[in-house]
Amino acid sequence: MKKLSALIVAVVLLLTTFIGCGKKEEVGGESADFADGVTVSEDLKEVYVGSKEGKKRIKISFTDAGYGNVWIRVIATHFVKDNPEYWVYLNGDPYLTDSVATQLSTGINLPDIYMPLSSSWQAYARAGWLEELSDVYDKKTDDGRTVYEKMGENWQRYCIATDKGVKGRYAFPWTEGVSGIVYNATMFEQNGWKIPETFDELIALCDKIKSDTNGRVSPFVYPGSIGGYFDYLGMTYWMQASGTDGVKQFYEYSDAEVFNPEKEPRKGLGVALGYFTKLFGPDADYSLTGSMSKNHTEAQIAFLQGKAAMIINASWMEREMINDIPEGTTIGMMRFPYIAEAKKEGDEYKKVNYSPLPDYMIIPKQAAEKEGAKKFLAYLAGDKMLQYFFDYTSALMPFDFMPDTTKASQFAKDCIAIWSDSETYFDLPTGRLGNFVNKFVSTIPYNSLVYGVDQDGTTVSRWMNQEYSTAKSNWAYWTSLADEMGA
Amino acid sequence: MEKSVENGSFFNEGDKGRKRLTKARKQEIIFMCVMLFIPALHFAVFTVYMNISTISLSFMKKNMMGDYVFLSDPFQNYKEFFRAITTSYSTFPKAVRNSLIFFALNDLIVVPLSVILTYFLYKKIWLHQVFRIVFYLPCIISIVVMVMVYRFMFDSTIGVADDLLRWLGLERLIPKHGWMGTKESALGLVIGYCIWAGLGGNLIVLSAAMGRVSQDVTESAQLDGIGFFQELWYITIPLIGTTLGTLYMFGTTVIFSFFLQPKLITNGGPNGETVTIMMYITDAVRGDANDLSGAAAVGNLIAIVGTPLVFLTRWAVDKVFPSYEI
Repeated sequence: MKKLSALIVAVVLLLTTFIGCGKKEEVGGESADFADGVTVSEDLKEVYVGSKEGKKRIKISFTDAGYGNVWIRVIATHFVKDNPEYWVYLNGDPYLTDSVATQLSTGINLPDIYMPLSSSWQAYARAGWLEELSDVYDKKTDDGRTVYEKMGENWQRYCIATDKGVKGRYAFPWTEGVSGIVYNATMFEQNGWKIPETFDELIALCDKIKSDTNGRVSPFVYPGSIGGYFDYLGMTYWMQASGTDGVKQFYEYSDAEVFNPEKEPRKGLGVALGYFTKLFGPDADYSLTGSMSKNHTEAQIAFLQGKAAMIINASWMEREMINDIPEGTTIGMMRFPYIAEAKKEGDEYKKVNYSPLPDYMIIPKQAAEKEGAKKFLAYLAGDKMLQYFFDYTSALMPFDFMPDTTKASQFAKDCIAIWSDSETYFDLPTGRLGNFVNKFVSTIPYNSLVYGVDQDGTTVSRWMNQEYSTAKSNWAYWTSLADEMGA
Repeated sequence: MEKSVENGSFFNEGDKGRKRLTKARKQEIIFMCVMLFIPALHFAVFTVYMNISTISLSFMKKNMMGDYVFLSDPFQNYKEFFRAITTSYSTFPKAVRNSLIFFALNDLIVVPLSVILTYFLYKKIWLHQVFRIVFYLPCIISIVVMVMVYRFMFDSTIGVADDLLRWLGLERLIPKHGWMGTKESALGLVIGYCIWAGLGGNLIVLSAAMGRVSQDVTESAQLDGIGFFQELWYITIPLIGTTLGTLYMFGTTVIFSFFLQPKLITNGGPNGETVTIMMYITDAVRGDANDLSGAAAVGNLIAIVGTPLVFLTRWAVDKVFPSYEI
């Protein structure tokens, strides 16, 4: 009996050890796009030409998650070929973002380049941990423009921070996202469903999906337990209703009146939340049962299994779920349909894209090989490298560059189409209270709106008033705090 | 010179009454110093330094230069915390309620149930080895894996719970927002998980304690005709009182430290219905990881409330479970 018990325990332990490994398939650990004559070590971490002897090492710590790791390896092979005095060490870590602050504060064993996911890099700059990157931004790219000139306008403002009061450019762009509604293109084609242009058409489509499938397929599924990615829809509709200029005006945080639900720009958010409630509120019936319980993986799997036809998501979803997309299924991305209040330019709706907060790259001030790291960042902004990045991630770096999409999936093409003809914006507080006031100052509204008042939730007007009263009652405190902290 | 160890002294009798340490005594002192160094260092860093640092940090805030500076109103972080928890939309009251529920769950259900289960296994009931593994497995499997499996059971797409209800013709019981997304079921799910997974750890501790109960005492009682449950109540429980007391002591800390299970199962939802005090604090810290002054203030407040509570529990435990020599 003891032997049997020991055997059972051993088997369970072994199984649980490997359960997390799953079938994570490296999307091509090697690639045909590796530069000729470059050696990539067996563990895929070291990239060099000939030998490493006498060469300077550039260590890159990157987030090995949704975008995979082949793109960085491909680019590294080309970099060392063009700059043979360097070799590159690649350190992929899915949880890098959580440890960057600790590593920077200790200053021990730092990489030369960090590539974390979106997080508060401005605080690292304030603490004096980051290298100023004007050298990188002033370097010329293939077409004669500087890296800075080639970079998108949002990022030109976003990369600026202060180090002990000294203003500078401390972050380098990694990605700029595209948000929208991901749909099952195969299902749409089989059923003859059309991509909706307006919100009313979206509602009609939802009804049609339900009737055409006798309720077997829900129009939407969402990851309610992590916030549903609802903010992508909420912010896009706010930008449609108030214009990106309206949202930018809000982020100046001039006074508590920017939270006044009766006035623009906040009024537009109320409009946006109204549409949100029509789609996901307590009286709507367009979502898969149990969506509020799902996390992002569970919701995305339900979508890919065909339980729902659409899911709110962003440009990384295809790569993130590449191993779970059933054979024969194609997914696409549509922009959020226009609401009736959407701003127009002539007869055309103004196209906007809300980007989730961008991922970035930084060079630690105490990095061992800063010059090489700066060369590498500037190298990334070249057209050829931007194309490689797109080819292997279906994502975009925010530079003025239109990738060749002939080999791209439908999803990637859709993302490019949305990004290229839209004004992209991400949350970027510009007022001096930016470090003390948030977009939502009381609660995040979406889940409460899904539940509605009957289930301890809220209504749009009640939540908007709650925000306004919170802002008014705290404004003096936030202002005095900003004064005291030297903002 | 002659060593006077035999007379109980570690000193050599030196000239003119001067005493010198013997080699053995020197080695003993060095050994003690080396052995005490690590705990003393640990105490100095993680108790003295950390507490002084936390207390001073709670009166500071990070300025725009990235430096912590003392606030003109030293209690500002404390006031900010009280302002946050007293708003109409704060989830803190729910966090307090839930933490007390989990404290009661541990002390009133999990520990007593663990004692009964361990007693059955201790008495070597049929298949006791198998049951021991069944109850102990949740302890050795990663909590992340356990929670994942548990969540899958109640998932609306792949879970067995919904299918089972449909099979039984009880579809109306399936919640629209899912088991983890519905106020009425979410807390119950976390409680269910805690009972299921919480038994294993206690089982080991209690098994060891019951194993130390003298066979002479139990055999004597059995000769006097004591019954199965009488033995548990009158012999075993009193003789494992110290261990039970320790389990109840740990149970008190649940109020301030319990958060991982609800975090992984429901992420505190729906609408904060499963948030605990520690989850509230953890989320607040994660929300502003670059300025830990607010978290330091909350930590100090918890110490102020928690320390007397722990002493009170210790006193109550000593009263209820007096220590018996076995």
